Amino acid sequence: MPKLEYFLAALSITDDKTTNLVSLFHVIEMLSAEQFPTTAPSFVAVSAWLLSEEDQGHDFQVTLNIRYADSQEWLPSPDLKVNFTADGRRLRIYHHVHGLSLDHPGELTLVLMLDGQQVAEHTVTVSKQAGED
Amino acid sequence: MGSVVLHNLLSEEFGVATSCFGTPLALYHFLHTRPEVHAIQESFRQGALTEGTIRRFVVELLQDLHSGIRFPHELAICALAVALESRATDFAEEFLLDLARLRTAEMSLSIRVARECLKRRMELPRTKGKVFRLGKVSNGNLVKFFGGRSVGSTISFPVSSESTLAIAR
Repeated sequence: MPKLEYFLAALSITDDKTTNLVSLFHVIEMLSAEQFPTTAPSFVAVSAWLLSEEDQGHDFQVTLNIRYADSQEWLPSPDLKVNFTADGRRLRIYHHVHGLSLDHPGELTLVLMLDGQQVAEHTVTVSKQAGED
Repeated sequence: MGSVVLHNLLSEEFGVATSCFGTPLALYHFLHTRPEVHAIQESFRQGALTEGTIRRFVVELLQDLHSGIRFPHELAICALAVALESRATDFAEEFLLDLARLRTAEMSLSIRVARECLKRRMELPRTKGKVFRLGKVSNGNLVKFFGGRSVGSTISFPVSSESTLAIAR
């Protein structure tokens, strides 16, 4: 099975076509909003996978699920799925998410799943912004 | 500058330095150390060389490809293959794949170097992305992202400071 190297959510990302290096900008840890419900700014969830010889040629599915920590309900529906066929040693998967609706403050959990099995999660704290002075 | 670094591949000095390698693998490794190859990669980085220029250069070279005669610019093509090996573009992928798929004795060395490049290229990370639009992006609400407080340091990122990244939606 593919092995997860890292999983992060960030505001933006670049791939340097010359060097094939990836750069993540502003990894998301916390966010606040003046009022709820609101829409989260667009972000990208990045997962980097190491693929073994045995994985080559096989199909896999990486799913990003998002829910509040105090809830079992997934926020976006349907699931955010990316399918791939293993071809090479390393693969980066980008889930670009736009327009995620947030209806209240809390801990937001981004859950990464490989073929239906949870492999990692990234927590974002969502808070209500105090009024400006 | 772009075309200069390409034409360096046709120089006598480059030809002499690279012509004594008996196997494609040895040539492949040697080319990785050559300043001519590094100069091409550096020109790409600086934006002085484009893939279009390489395409035209290769077309120009291929005019000297004749059946039954060893292709005189094989080493230049080999060097280009090595220079493009780690470039994450469709052009680089197509160049290497097209070269590796050739079945012509006149270019046997560059075909095998291209295959070596593709083998190494498989080790490089690939990228797959998908965009998910879940709803309306803009709602006029202000959402702020901010980092955590640093510990044991004089630098901190208070919630409402100007160091926060504000994104107006």
